[in-house]
Formats: sequence, C-alpha cells, structure tokens
Amino acid sequence: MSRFSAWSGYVIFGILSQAFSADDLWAAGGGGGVPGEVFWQIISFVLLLLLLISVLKNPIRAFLRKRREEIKSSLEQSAKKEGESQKTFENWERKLNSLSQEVADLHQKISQEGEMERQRIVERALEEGDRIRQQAKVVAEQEVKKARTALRREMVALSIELAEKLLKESTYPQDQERLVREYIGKMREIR
Amino acid sequence: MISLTLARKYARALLEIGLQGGNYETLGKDLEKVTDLLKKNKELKNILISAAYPAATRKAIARAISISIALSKSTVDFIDLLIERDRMDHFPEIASSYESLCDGVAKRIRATLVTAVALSPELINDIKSQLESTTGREVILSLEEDPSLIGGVRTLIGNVIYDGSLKTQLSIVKENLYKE
Repeated sequence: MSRFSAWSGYVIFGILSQAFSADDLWAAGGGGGVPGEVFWQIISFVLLLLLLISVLKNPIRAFLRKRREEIKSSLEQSAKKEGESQKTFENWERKLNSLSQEVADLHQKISQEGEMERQRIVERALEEGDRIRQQAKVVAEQEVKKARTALRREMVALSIELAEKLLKESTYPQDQERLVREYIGKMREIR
Repeated sequence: MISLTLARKYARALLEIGLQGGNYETLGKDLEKVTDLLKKNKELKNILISAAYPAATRKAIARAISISIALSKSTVDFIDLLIERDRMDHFPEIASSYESLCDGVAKRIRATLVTAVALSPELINDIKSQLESTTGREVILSLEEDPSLIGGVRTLIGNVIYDGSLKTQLSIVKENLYKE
C-alpha cells in the first residue's frame, strides 16, 4: 500500500516537474503560447490519474495479491512435488538397491543350483561309466567263454572225428566179435 | 488212421478164424506171401484193387494165384471178402496188423539187429538167444548192415533200443567232453 502511494507520488511529481520545465522553456523563449491551457491539461491529467488510481487501486491490489498467492501456491506445490519426487526417487533407489540384492541372491542361487546340477551330472556320468564298464566286462567275459566253448567243441569234434577214423581203420573182425561178445555180456547184466 | 483201424478190425477177424482152425500161423504166412507178391507185381495189385474190373473177375484172378502160391482156403475166402467189399487196397496194413496180433498170441517179438559188418551165424544166434533170454519171448530177428556204426551192434525192439555200437559210444564221449 505504501509502496503504491510512493510510486503514484513519484509519477505526479514527475509530471509536474515536466510541466514546469516546459513552462520555463516557454518563458525563456519569450514567445507567445498558452501556458494556462497546459496548466489545465496537467491538472486534468493529474486528476484523471488520481481518479484512475482511486478506482483501479483496489482491483490491481487484489489482482496482485491473488497473483502473489498463486505464485506462492505454485511455489509451495513445486516444493511439495519436489519433495514427492525426492521421495519417489529415494523409493526407487531403495527398490533398485533391493533389486540389486535380489539379483545378487538370484545369481548366487542359480550358481549354487548350477553347481549342484553339475555335480549330479558328473556323478551320473561316473555311475553310467561304471555301469558301461561293468557291462563291457561281462560281455567280454561272455565272449571269451563262448569262444572257449566253441574252441573246445571244435577240438572235441576234431578229436572224435580222428578217433572215428582211427577206429574204422583199426577195427578188425576179431574186434567186432569181441564187441558183440561184450554187448551180449551187457545184455545179460540188464536181465 | 481210419485205414489202420479198419485193417486191425479185419486182421482180428481173420485171427479168430485162424485160432478156431488152429492155423493162425499158416494164415500169417499166407498173408506175407500175398503182400510180397503185391509188392513185386504192381499190375496185379492195381487189378485187384480196381473197381473197373468186375468182382467176379478179380476173385477168379485171386483164386488162380492162390493155387500157384498154395494159399489155404481160409486165406482165399478172406481175399474174396476183401474184393467183395473193395478193401484190397488195405491189404498191406491188414497183413501187418495180423502179424502184430499173431506175435502177441504166439508170445514172440520182432527185433532188428543192425551191425557194422556181417556177423557169423553163430554170433547172430548168440545175440538172438540172449535177446530171448532178456525179453522172455521168442525173438524174430531181421538183419541190417550199417557201416557208420564202426563196430558193435544195435538192436531195436519196438520202441526200445539196445545200443552197443562204437558210434554211440563215441557220441557219449563227445557229449561228456562238451559238458566239461
């Protein structure tokens, strides 16, 4: 209010000083003119100005107050929003930190599970290897046994064949008779 | 199977006639003679079993033959009956069944003696005697030679085999060696 009065006073003073300085110029020139008209003009201007001031003082003041309130409110809201943003930022930062921890935990868990899985696979592979080795051993033993049996059978067959050949060559009539006599003897035993 | 049943039926009927007449052995020999003849003479066999020829003609042929090979009256009548009933095609089976029935009545058995080489009659008689002694029946031996036996003999009586051949002994040795 006081600032506005001072400001309006300055305006009036300025206008009057201008008016008087113009009058001085007119007086110094010593020529004709109409100083009374200028004076009245100035008076009417000042009156108009005072009227305007008296009429517009309150609306302008209200407008300025309102504007100040708005700016103040905006500043407060901005501060509030800044606070909220800060809070959100902190919240997210906290979440981020927490997420990092979770990621680290998850990573650790995956690593542990991976390690366990690796161990399981290795154990299984070792077991499978043992089983295959054992199986191969059994198969090899069986094959060796089969080969031995086949060899023995072949040897026996050859021996019998040779024996048959020798018997055919060396069986004489007296041998036949002896064999028949033995046969009769065995028949007698059966009885 | 039907043929065997039928043959057994006719053989049994003839055996009864033979037993009544006391000549069942003669009848058996007659059947053997006719079987041999039919086996040797296929043409005669075909005529006797063929329905294309009248039964009277076939009977006349059979009678003519029976005179030449000296068949008994019962045998001739039996052949007439077979011709009448068109059963001559079963004659070999009937003769075989009769032989079995006859052996049963006479308490004798038939055996096949298989040898690697021909044996002396003395040895064969010894084997026969021993077989009769073992079975307690008269044994009619038929002889066969099989060099694959190498040595010794093998006797077949029905389903029973008495094996004393070197071949079988070698087989036993072979099997024992396989098992070891």
